[in-house]
Amino acid sequence: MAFRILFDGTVAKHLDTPGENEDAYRIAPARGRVVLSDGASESFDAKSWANLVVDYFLESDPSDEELGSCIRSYEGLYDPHVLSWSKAAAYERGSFATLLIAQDDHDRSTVTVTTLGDSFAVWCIGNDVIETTPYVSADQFTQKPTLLATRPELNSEMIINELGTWSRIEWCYEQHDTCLLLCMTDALGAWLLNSREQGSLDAFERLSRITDQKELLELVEVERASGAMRRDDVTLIIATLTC
Amino acid sequence: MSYTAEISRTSPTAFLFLVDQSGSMQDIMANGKSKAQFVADVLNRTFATLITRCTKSEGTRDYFEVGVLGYSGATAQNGLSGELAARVLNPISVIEAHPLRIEDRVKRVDDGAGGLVDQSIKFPIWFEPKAGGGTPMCNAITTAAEQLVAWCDAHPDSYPPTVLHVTDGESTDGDPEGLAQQLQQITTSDGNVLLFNLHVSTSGGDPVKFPASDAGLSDSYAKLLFRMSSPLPLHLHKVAQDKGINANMESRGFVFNGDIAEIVDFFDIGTRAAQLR
Repeated sequence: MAFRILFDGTVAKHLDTPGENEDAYRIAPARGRVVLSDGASESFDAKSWANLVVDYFLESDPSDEELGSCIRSYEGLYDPHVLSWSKAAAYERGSFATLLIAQDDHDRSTVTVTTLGDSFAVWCIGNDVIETTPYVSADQFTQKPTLLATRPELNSEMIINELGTWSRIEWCYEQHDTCLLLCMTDALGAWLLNSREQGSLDAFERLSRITDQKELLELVEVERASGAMRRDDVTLIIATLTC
Repeated sequence: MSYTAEISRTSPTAFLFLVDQSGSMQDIMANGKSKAQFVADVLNRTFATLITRCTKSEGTRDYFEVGVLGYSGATAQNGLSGELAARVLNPISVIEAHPLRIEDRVKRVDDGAGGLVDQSIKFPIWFEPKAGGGTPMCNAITTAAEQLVAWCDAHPDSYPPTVLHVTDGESTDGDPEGLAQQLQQITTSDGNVLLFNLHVSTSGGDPVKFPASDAGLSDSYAKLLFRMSSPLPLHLHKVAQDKGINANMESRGFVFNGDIAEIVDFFDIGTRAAQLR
């Protein structure tokens, strides 16, 4: 099989409230597709929004029409007229989330990664990190990312059908025995790039060797405790691609 | 590095508003409102914005503690009343639960077709305008310091409190500079208390926004307020720059001769602490 999931898991920002984890992901192994979304903390209901985003974009590629359907589903969750003034104001402000779609094309031996926002993917051949997307340096994670919003007017500049502010990259595995694709949310991505920039070459190795949830949890907790990793929800998906 | 602590329910930050309520705050601004009324409107809107940032579908999370000290006559007092009168700094969820009243106001919004339409909005009121008597700035800063020493003792690793001070005149109870310096010596492990000063004006002169030196300031009073103001932390430079303000490493949290737009921007920039978690 060309596309195989080696690991997928998530760690909430606070271990005692896993239900508040606002990351969401879906995997369709048979179709070689991974969809990941990171709901923004300053949102009315980032958890529901991120889950709707991955549900919708697991089945279809980004389009204005699909995003519109996704927003209508979100709008069906709440009636702002019966909310308290503060919840109505927060609902009006909106909910926000990233989107990362990784799609394997076995016939062409390529994987295409499409991202909006700061969810992050790493492409590796053997033990070497070959390329990352959408960022290449840790300081890029301090930028304010463009996110999918539940308020349609805030998405108007994205022009999904023309890619606009989206990032898209294609990685080829035709010439290689085994390639790894790591998809992750921003706290983990920033930690990985920062570790490499600080000369810590084992960060990628530690990450790519993770095979179960306990190992991910241990890594995240150790790095949070040392101050090397921001306290945020963390999600990691590792896939292998072979010809 | 300072001012990088994550703000969470277990590690909140604080915003304390110091509001001049002296007699001159009755002066009328270009929008027809008194300075006291306009500052009260912006302050109430700022409270609502802070609450909105903290509110999720399950309720309002206590990322912030917020309070107001109003000063006039010879004293500084809690500017909030009712359920919020018992303590100066209240968790934001308590603020959310206890507005004095909620007014129905009308906002003009884009109709999506090039026009404007009226939209009814809820406008909660916590702080009422008041103006009369002198300007006991020293008393106000001392009272703020007492509150913030206790707050920092209780939250030793939090993003440090931010004091947003709004005034339109000179202190009537002494020189506040030394007290302002002492206020800024109060610390958490993440940095010193931030003191940002806004001078409100009806003179119509050009405002000075977040200056890097006192070279362009017209008089000794403006220079005093500049010296009393904290340097703008790095993460607020970008917020200021997004509003067209040329902030740099030397910029202080200070606006002089501020009119309507500057008052709104000052409150917005001053309350953008680091990202909520």
